[in-house]
Amino acid sequence: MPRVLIIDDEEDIRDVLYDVLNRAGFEVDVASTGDEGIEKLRSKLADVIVTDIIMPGKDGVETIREIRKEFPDAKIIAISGGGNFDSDSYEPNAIKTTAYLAAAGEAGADVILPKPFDRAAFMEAVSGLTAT
Amino acid sequence: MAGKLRTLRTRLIVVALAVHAMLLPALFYGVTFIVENSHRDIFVNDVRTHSRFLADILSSQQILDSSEDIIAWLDWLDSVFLGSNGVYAEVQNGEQRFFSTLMDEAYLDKFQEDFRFGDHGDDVYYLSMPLDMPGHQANLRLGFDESLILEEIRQTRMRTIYGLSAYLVISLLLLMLLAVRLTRPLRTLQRDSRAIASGDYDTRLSVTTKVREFRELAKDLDLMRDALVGINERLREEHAEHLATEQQRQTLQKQLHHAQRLETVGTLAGGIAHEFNNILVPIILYTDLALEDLPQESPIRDNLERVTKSANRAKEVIDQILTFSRKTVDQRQKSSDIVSIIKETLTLVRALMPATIDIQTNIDEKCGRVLVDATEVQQLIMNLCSNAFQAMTEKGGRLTIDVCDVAIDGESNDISLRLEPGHYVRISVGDNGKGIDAATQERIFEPFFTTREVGKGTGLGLSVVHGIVISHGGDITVDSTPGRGSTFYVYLPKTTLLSELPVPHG
Repeated sequence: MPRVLIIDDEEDIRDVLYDVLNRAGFEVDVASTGDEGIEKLRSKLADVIVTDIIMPGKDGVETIREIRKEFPDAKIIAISGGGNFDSDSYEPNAIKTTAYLAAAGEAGADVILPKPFDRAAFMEAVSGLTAT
Repeated sequence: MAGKLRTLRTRLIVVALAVHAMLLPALFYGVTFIVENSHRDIFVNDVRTHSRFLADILSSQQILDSSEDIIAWLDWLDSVFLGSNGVYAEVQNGEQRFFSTLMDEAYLDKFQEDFRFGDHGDDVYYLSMPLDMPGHQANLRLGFDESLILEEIRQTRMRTIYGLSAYLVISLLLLMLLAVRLTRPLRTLQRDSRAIASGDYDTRLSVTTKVREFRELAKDLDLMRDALVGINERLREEHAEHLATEQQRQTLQKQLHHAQRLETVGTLAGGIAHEFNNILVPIILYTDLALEDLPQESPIRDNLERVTKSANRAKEVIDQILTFSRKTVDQRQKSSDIVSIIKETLTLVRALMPATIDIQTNIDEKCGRVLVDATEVQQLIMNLCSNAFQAMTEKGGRLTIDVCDVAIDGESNDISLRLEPGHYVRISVGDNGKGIDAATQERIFEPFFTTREVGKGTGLGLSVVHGIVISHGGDITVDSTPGRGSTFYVYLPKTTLLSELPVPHG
């Protein structure tokens, strides 16, 4: 049974993604910060990692970079609500969405999925990565 | 009166009168004194000499011994003496008195013992001469008529008065002439200075007088006028410059304020978009899960499908907000053939517009190339045309779309444009609809700002246009007159370098 780790600071999003994946038969684990996610991966590796990009503390780009460094074969999906965001203060005000998504891609995300996405698009992305 | 006394003319005349009042009486008395004295001296010496001569003749004749002799000598006196200006003649010898027989009887009573010239009353000068005759106490007494001499003195005095009067009149006339000559150039200068003071700066200060001081004064004043006019001109120019600078500063400040406001709103909108996108994830996914759980015939299914639909609409709105708030040139710009993109879009516009709208286009095919995102430019044209149509819905109108190239040199162009100098493609979309008032123009590019009724528009159309234009490194302005129509001008920077052209994607 493929295993998926969800990293997102928003509880509602963690919950709904958990439900969606759980219903599709995946084994799911959740983390609310990048560091927590990396800790969980160390104890048990996941087949697919779904991570938010704009998060307090360690942001998604940095998290992806560290995961990629420690687990070169990990499959990563980056999700983001876009908008503007200042990584220093986590005030949602001034960063370029597209640039940020591109940064996630450069850091090593396999799939970039802008929020909001529908169930089909999300499942397609997850299935696509687990199939290979 | 006191004021009148202070004028130069009056002063000169008053001073002259005072000087004359002191001088002329003295002059008069001096002249008459000298004249009287000299006349008297001549007269008195004359009659004394004459009397002495007669007395000497009488003394030498020794004629007092007999009365006959005396009478004979008196006859002689009559003939010699009384023929001249003598009026009285007497010889005293002790108690005896002999009078000239030709003498007027009237003088007998009038004879008095005064022998001074000009004594009043009788106009006669009397004098007494002792006769040198041994054994006798004899005197010759004579009287001479003074009236001729006195008349001469009187006439001389009158002539002096006439002369002095003539002198007074002539000198006063000359003085008045001088006063007029002196005051005329002063009055001219005064009149001209007043003209300058009241703003007629072209008045020259000059006088026609030959008086050197006045000519020099006029010249100096004119130099002063030139200097003042120069200063005034310079001040006026500086003031105008200052006003222009101030106006430009205000325009720039307004612009900056406007830009800052748009940026703030954009930042805020970006933040809101981020939050909403996160919120939409559970809404969309939970609704999907719920739909899966429901039986096909459930009446709740329809409601949930509406939730999905609304969430998707919300997603679209957020996308529009993000388009506005995105300010960087991203990698999605793919095409440089702006003319084709515009023409394709206009085909669509023509199909959508009703027949009441007359569409006129004027597209310069060779206006140049702009690196753009075709979809965004399409959206830009559609939004502008849609707005123009909205402004003309009531009675139809004319929609004009012009495309041309313009050079921005940073100086002669509209200073409200925030563009680097260079070459731009300008897309103008104009209508002859109801127009936009100044207050609306101020906020027209702000998101959610709409003049339409609630539910008839999101208020995002023009802010999306603004976002697209800015992300392409261009600018947008609006020119509108309420009641006459509006024109939007979109400036997009031209691409000149081949390296800037996009590499075709497979």
